[in-house]
Amino acid sequence: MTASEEAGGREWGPEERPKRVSEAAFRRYDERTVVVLPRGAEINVLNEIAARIFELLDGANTVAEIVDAVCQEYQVEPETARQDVQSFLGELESHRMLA
Amino acid sequence: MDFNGPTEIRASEGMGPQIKSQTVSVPRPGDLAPRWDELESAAAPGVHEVDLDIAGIRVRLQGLGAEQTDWIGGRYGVFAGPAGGATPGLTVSVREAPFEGFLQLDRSGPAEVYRLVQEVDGDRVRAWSYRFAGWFNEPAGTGRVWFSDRDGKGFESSLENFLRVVYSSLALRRRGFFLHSAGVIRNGRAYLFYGPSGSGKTTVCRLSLEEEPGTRIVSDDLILVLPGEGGEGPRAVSSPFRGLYAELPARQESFGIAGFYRLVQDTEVFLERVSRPRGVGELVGSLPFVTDRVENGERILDAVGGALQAVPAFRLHFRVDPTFWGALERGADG
Repeated sequence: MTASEEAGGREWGPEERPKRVSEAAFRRYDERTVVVLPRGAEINVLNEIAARIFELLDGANTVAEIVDAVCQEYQVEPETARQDVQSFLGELESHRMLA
Repeated sequence: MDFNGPTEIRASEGMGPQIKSQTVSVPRPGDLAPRWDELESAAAPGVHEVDLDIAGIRVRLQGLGAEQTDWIGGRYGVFAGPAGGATPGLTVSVREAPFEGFLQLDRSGPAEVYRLVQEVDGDRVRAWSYRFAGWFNEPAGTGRVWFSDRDGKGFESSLENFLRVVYSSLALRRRGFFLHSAGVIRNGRAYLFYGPSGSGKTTVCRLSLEEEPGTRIVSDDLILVLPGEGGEGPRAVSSPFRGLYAELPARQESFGIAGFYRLVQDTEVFLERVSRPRGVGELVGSLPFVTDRVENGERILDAVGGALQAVPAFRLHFRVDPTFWGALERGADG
């Protein structure tokens, strides 16, 4: 089972362009980002890396590009980044935070 | 890579998936959706007008009956007055609803949690509950509300709940917010205790009064937090939405805020400082009526984030006794 599937989602292809839900309002405070989702009135707090990925989920960046960005900005191995991005996307899907 | 638990998502005291605001309901089978077109032709109960003013946020009610006007004067005291003077931010026409009600109260089991439905249509926000339906348009400064009861408890509670929805929205325009919380004044400063229903807000008020009779309670229900003027920190502002223990104030006043304290019932008594983003997340979960509307997201983050720039947020672990005041005085490091 992949990391994404463990988080309750599917495996995302490298050329797919995931997009966060348009109605999400988010703001960075210090090293965390607070996301307010009007639908269902949910509030989530993301850590720094998660927030950076969330910012990149604008529908323009591919999964591969997001993984590359995480590798470069946080100095991690590509396979680790790939698994973690997949896991995070699965988590976002389960919270209905992706369009 | 520090990626363990990328979404540091939390709810109450467990590691639940998210914080959820519980102020808004969805219709259930048996509920009646307001037929807005039919409501438009309904008559006003009277010709009287009243201005409500909470910290300069003004709402004018038009078309009131004489008894309704008298009741509003008594209930809202210093916050109500004859119409006139400064232009209100919102003018609301009051009408009699030609229907017995809207949402249906479930009387088959334990008392149900209060239900209210909201929907947004352009600039118009619609809200309805058991015995009222209304809308308001903030940019246009207009609104209308229909009550199934002309007077009595039905009218009183319906008006109060409609006003709470309206004022919660208007406060955001002032970079403020209503917080579901209890406000206790000590040494001239407001300690704001918040958390979900049952967390202990009313208990904290009672314990504070028992320990120090005469303690001023701003509210044990809703506190209005507004930015201070001239670069000062945010202030807790008196309002008529005050709950069980707070008395109607003789004048409008405000207090500097000592801190925001999320209540956690525990066997130990101590104060836990929380980071600003976590504090923002927790506070936003205690904002009634506004969090489910898309257009409010940025304003909410502005208002709450602004407040927590100047005032710290904590979790107050407490037992049901007044020893928590010792923890508050010692601070998070005590």
